[in-house]
Amino acid sequence: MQENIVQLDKVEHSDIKLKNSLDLKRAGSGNMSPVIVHEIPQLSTQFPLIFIKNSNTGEFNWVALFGLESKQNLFVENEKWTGKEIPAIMTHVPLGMTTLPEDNDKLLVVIDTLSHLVSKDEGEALFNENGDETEFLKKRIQAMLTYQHHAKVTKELIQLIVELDLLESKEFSFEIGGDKKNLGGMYLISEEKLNKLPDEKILLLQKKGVLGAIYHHFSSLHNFKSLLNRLSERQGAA
Amino acid sequence: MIKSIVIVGGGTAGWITANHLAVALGGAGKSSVQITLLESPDIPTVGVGEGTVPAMRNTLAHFGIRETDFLRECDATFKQSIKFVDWVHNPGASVNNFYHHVFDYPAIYPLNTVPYWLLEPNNLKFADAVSLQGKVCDAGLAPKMITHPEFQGVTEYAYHLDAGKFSQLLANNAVNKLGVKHVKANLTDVDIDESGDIQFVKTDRAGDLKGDLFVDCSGFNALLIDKKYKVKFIDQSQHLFVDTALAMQVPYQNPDDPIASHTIATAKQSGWIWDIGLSSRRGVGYVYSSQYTDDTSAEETLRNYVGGAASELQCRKISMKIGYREKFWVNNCVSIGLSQGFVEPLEATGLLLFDAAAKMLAELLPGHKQDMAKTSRLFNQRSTYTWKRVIDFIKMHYYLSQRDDSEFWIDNRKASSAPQSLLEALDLWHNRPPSEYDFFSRFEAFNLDNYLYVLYGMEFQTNMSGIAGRYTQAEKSQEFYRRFSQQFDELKTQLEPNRKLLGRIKKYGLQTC
Ligand SMILES: Cc1cc2nc3c(=O)[nH]c(=O)nc-3n(C[C@H](O)[C@H](O)[C@H](O)COP(=O)(O)OP(=O)(O)OC[C@H]3O[C@@H](n4cnc5c(N)ncnc54)[C@H](O)[C@@H]3O)c2cc1C
Repeated sequence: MQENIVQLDKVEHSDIKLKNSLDLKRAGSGNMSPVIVHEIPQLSTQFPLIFIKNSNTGEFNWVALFGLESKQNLFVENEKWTGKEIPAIMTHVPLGMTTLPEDNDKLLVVIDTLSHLVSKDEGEALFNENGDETEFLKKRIQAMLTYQHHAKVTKELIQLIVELDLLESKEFSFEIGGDKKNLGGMYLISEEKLNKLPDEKILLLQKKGVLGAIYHHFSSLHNFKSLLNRLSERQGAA
Repeated sequence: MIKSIVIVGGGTAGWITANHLAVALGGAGKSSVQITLLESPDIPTVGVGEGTVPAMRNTLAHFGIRETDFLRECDATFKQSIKFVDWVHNPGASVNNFYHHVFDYPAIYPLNTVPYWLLEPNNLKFADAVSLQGKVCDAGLAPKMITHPEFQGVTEYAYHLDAGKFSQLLANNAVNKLGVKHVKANLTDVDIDESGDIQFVKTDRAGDLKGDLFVDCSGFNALLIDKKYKVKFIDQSQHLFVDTALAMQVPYQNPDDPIASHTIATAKQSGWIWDIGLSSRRGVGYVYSSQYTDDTSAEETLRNYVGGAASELQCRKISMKIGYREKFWVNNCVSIGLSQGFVEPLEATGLLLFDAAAKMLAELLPGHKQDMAKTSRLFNQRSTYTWKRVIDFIKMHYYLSQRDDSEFWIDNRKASSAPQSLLEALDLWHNRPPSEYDFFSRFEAFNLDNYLYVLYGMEFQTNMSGIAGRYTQAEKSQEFYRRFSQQFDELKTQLEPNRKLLGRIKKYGLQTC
């Protein structure tokens, strides 16, 4: 898949239009997506919400899992999303928001101009004749700004979970079509470690609003079973 | 009851001992034993000692020190091997005049490929036949990835570290987390009662320090074990000839110069040069025998090795006495560190030995003073055994050499210069490879793996004629060799250069799980 991710520019992109839809070629190509703590209750009904390490930094991310192998997305069929829920960040594509490596406070809006949602004649304009942002773009940017804020909060909460040493590495072993397989590199919150926390730490988790998210994390693990079901359906169909 | 322990000396040995004792005896505020460390504000530590062995990882974890903090604060880097250059043949005799003593255990399970390699080396160096770590080192790769938890990696590893900064980190840990009292003053006198026990040590500015047990970590000064108790020093210079070191700190030319993932030990005419890459600089030093060369030529050898970068740099001379004490624990005084003895840092034995001794002391320390004599006998016996084995192992590096380009090497290869115990062991291995049964103590400083890498790295000849017919799985062993090279090809794509990973760790830290 070709990409061309550039900073959104009112001159360069003055005549670009954007279809208000999902680009799953981009957003749905992997078997996971990062999540923010605010969407964990809804997402936990459909996906296993687990922790994985970022391969660049080693830091933990909280993610929703869509498949049991890398690049396997069991919620995309014929380029359509078949889930009831979807992590918010996937709806931003082909727009995105990022920071400059040299200045982490400066936010930039970027666009992948090769997305099939981008064209000159179909969809919503991003800038009006005067070169100002349209209401449509303003809304999209506002959504991404809110998301950035939530992502920051999420990062702090993950940091707290790490500091309290609640994570443990786990593998998910499953059998499909007679083959034994293994999904590794995954971290879950240890119930045992959580139960051993002193009261004041539990209180802290509660105050910061992460205790609820932790319980949703536990309940989300039932969804491994629905992933397996989706996988065997898919294999049965093939 | 033993209620207070005074450690004299704040080098790495003193602080390692303080941490071990404090952890074993119950930690901050809760323990019935108070530990005090006395350090001279005027007498500097020896300031060298930058190479370690993998046991250091356990030690740090045991002390509750995060690997991330250690790497960041001690300019530490990963060490996976010692690469011995020019030890086997005269320099220039072949381009391949080196071998790796790597930390990965040789793959001798499920099939011991050592005899197969001896029968048919397949143009492979020994280390490459039984592990992939030599290749990892030569490619300059780190032993782990950013996603590995602290203290874990793909391969076994130890560290290179800045000795001064390491002492500082150990001191902070001992004082702030483990409740060790730090007294900065000079010891001026030692008071002994009629039983021969030390009652207290006098200091110039902190009064008298009383104690039930005293640990002499005062370095080469050996203030208690030598100056007070006059315990005999068993000289080992008949086996190991080097007695002087010239040390130099060499900056990197460019901030992103690669950092070797192993120590480089290059043999020279009258000794050898260590070359250790920290994240901030290199530590380089020539360890030589003053019997075979003089200081001026030694300095020239070192400067030639370092090259242009050396011209503006100072070097520091350190005199060393090779050997160990007849006893390490007398009455209520235990010596740990350079006060115990010293062998040249060829296999980074310094910290290893002192760490092991401190751990043993922490574990064996009796509750009552009257039980000390029994314990000290055991401690002395074990420690003497360890020192003897270390001398054997270090001597082997010289004895097996085929160099004849200087008197130093010619004399080193004479059987009369080798300890009897080494000759006996080698005699066994002339007709069969070493076995685990040759290393029966659980507390050997050097084991089967270490001996295998050095023996066969040095082209030691084991005559297989009597036993060759027992090895019937040659094909399988070939398969193992192939597997290593495949595994390495895969690893190459995952591991990154030492400096790159260290930079990432500086920035993001490592996770604990
Ligand atoms: C050339 C060389 C290279 C080495 N390389 C390695 C290596 O690669 N790896 C390795 O593991 N080891 C190595 N070592 C050994 C290592 O340096 C030592 O084992 C280690 O530093 C321990 O030293 P120490 O603490 O016993 O002594 P020191 O560092 O000398 O500390 C002595 C302490 O005693 C204190 N003291 C002295 N007199 C008094 C007094 N009167 N009152 C109060 N305090 C006093 C000093 O202030 C100091 O704090 C090397 C040693 C040498 C000489």
